[in-house]
Amino acid sequence: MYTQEITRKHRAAFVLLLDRSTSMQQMVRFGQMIASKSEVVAYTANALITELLDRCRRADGIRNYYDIAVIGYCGERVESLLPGEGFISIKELSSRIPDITSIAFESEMEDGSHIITHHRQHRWIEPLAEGTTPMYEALHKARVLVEEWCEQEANQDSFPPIVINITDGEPTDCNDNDLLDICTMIKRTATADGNTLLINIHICSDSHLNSVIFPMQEEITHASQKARLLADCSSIMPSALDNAIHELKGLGAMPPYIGMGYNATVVELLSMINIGSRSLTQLE
Amino acid sequence: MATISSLRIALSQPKLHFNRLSNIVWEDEEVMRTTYFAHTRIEFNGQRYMLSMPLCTASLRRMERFIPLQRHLKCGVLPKIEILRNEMTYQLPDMSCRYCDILLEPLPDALPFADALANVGDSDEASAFFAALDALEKELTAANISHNNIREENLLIDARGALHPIHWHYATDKAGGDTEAIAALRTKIASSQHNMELHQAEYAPYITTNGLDKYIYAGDMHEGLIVVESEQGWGYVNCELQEVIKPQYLWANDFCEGRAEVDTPQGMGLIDCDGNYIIEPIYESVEFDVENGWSRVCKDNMCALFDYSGEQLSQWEESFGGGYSELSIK
Repeated sequence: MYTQEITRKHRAAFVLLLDRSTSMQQMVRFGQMIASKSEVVAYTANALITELLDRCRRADGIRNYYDIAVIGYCGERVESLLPGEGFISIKELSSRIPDITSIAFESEMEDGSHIITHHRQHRWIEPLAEGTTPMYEALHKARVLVEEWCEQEANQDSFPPIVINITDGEPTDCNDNDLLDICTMIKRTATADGNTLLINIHICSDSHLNSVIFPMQEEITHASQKARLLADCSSIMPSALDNAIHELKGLGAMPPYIGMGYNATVVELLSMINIGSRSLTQLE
Repeated sequence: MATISSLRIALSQPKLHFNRLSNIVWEDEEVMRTTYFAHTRIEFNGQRYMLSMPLCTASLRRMERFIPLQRHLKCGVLPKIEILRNEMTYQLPDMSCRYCDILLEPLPDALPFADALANVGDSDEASAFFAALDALEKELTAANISHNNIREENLLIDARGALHPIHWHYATDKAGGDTEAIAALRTKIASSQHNMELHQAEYAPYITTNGLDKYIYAGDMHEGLIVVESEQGWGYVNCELQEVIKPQYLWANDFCEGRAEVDTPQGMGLIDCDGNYIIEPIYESVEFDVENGWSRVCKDNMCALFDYSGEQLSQWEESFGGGYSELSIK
């Protein structure tokens, strides 16, 4: 399981769900930079899409290894943030690369002074933070997407889809049972190579809070009830990623690990996304 | 302005503090509040009423416009709401005496719809609720009015299954303002029925509500926090029922997108999930708008906008309406 090589014949699906609700306006520290959570998440998502594109670049052009969907959710809106309504192939995406944009971030220097630094990036996704958190609707949309993707004959033997949900809060359109229900439905979708991997990352702005990153079952037993719920909503990570997670967690960590982050800082978010997308590196 | 404490004192000694309502019976002793009103149920001359006390100068403005209009309307679900001018007397800390208007809304002989909704048993019951919502929507459309605050807590259901909205504080003329809220209720009825069939509290362990009994009031869980009222005031407990923000406020709202409005003896403010003040509690009213993260803040008949981080966005301006457009952003 989770061993299928990613080829042009056996593509892999990657779904990114981004919370764009009002609370994402909260400012966070990202290294030396100070930015809103929505800006940091958009920056991270854009970097990830560019990274996936680069992984597919060969001398003969872009190889069609991935189908990607990015879904943003806020207020009444659950919408695709990339061209089209659902998945877009990496090849098609490569024909629509946006111009490089310079993004200004406020940075705090060691002496406490503030300067504006500019970062250049292909801006696929713009930051937004407004309205409530319709996470159930977004997960529902993701479920439909991955279910349809897995049902396609061409994908039935592929590496299973990976869904990463990034949020800083709780859904405003469902209760805990509904949330668990829809996440279970997502995790039940599968290809012959395994079930869909659902990774839920809850980010927070307070770096003093204890974060729970790719926890072991034992860690979850002692965690808060909300962290336990998030754990039940997330997948067990495949053993192929054990070494990478062990490296992140340090000594004493023993697999299996749960694909979740609770009270994660934005730096931890980056590490988690990096590991989560590492399953997509088994390219031909 | 009068506070919730002033209202509690007046309700416990109606003969001393009310003019027309001197012989009211106040039994449930529960005073709830929203940003604009503190309200409780009373009995007066054999009829049940919702008694609402304005908490800031802007509270009654919509009702002042709506009440003259309602006199000419024939609408089965609209009660005869009255504003009783200078009805309640209360004392300031310096012992000086003040008067306060009271809003009086007759209540039908009916039960909370939220209780009925929580126990949707079968599809027949759900169908009856759908029909009742259709009938309510028709009534509001025929009268060309909007309640503007339709939700399960603001609906009662009578023995015939008819729905009666209460808390008409935000009502306006022209129909259509309740369409989305009624649609949301339809969805809720459908999902309640679905949940009853599928789950039967299958995944109960995440929230423990045993232990909330010690509080005078406990709300629902929002963003992992439950607003509670104790003898020490209003505060918040987490899902493990630890008091993460100690009871200390005169009132506190549910958290929404990481912010909650609170009232203190010095005034209203806005807090984050750790209880830090994002907007200092020195204002007459603070209304957080979840759509854009802005707060409309009023004091001494002047209003201004503050952003999600508590930075002031607009100049202080005299303002009577409720919209943002009249306030010029800096």
